[in-house]
Amino acid sequence: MPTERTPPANARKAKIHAAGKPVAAKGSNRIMQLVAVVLVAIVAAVALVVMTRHKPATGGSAVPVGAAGMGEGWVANAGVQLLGTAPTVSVYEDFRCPICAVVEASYGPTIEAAAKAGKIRLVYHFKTVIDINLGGTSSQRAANDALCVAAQGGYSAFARYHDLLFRNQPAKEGDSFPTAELTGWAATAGLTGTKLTAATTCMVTGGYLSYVQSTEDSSAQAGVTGTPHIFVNGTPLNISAYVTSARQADLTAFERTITTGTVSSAQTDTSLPTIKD
Amino acid sequence: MTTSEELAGPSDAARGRLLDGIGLLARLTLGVVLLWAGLAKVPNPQASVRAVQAYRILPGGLTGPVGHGLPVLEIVVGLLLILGMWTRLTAAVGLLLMVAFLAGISQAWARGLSIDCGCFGGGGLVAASRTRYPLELARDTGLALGGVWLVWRPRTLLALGGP
Repeated sequence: MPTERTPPANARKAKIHAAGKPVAAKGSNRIMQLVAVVLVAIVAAVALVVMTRHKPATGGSAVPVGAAGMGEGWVANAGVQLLGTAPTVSVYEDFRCPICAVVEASYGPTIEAAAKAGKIRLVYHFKTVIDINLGGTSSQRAANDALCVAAQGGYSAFARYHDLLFRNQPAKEGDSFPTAELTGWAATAGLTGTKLTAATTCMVTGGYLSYVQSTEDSSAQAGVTGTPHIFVNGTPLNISAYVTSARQADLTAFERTITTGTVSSAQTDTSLPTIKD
Repeated sequence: MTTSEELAGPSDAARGRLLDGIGLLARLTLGVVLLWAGLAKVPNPQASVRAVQAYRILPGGLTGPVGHGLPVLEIVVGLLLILGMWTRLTAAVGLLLMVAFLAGISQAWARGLSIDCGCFGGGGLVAASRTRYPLELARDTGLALGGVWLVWRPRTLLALGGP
């Protein structure tokens, strides 16, 4: 604020001061100030526009059979007769998350076998962490499409589609699943005829997109922001506790945990809250 | 500076210049950091919302508006500070932001949450070993002190001033 400067100490300086601040400068300064305000406003508006363009995909608002409502986990093996003591195993995953694919490759078959045998009640919470952190909507789409397959082919078709997604995860983190492959894997997972047509229609219309967004939101609200996470009867598992010194997955111990529901303190991930499913 | 001026005692003008210079440094530091923090959040607004949620302070309905609004506020305040417009007002807003960040980070630390502050994008839960609360608090305290300086003495070198 040049006009507020303290008066110069002597006459010579006063002259310099006056020469440096001619009356005309006030006007041009004012113009610069106005230009600056306009520029700042433009930058702010551009930032807002860029931010509002990064939105989750929208489609139908169907709640899959097996989920109690929006934001609630989806019971994948709802059609399987459960053993009386079957613990609830909750899996939080993102089909585009590389660590999810690693965990799935090691522990997925054990989870799937237990779910099919009714030894566990398997609940999925679909998350879209990669969409959020790296952009795009492919995680959300993949989960939608998996639910489309489940709606037509039940848990066994879902399990196959689920495997296909993780085994064919885009090599580079952040890349999207090609739409043609997402659609094509419905047939690979065993859907045919009208069921295949119905699943494909569901993929195109995005029937479960809002539901997938709702589970992402509710899980984040509950404090589960990352993936993958597995909870047994609401207790968060420390998955690394099942890695042996030979860097192999101890599947016997893992199977015991998920089918008995007994989680030791070393097997508990204390950085996560407990959940209810 | 002439000898006669020096003989007249410690020059108020020189002292003023020095204080103006300190003000400029405080203004640019706070402004650049705020601008950088705001810009870093723009590409991933959902991550910004998640970072706000990770503090577990605000009710669900407010995390969206704050997650989206905060980056824009940071950009505007940062730019105005860099330009030196309405310095006292913009520094006060910057100071308030820093106080809010300090409170948020402190409560997260006190409650045993393991989160990244999400100050420059990212954020959310991290492993307990990856939290950096002391560093984050020290940085924001320094920036807050810059804000205090500018509220107390908003006159700085190379300021555009307010229209």
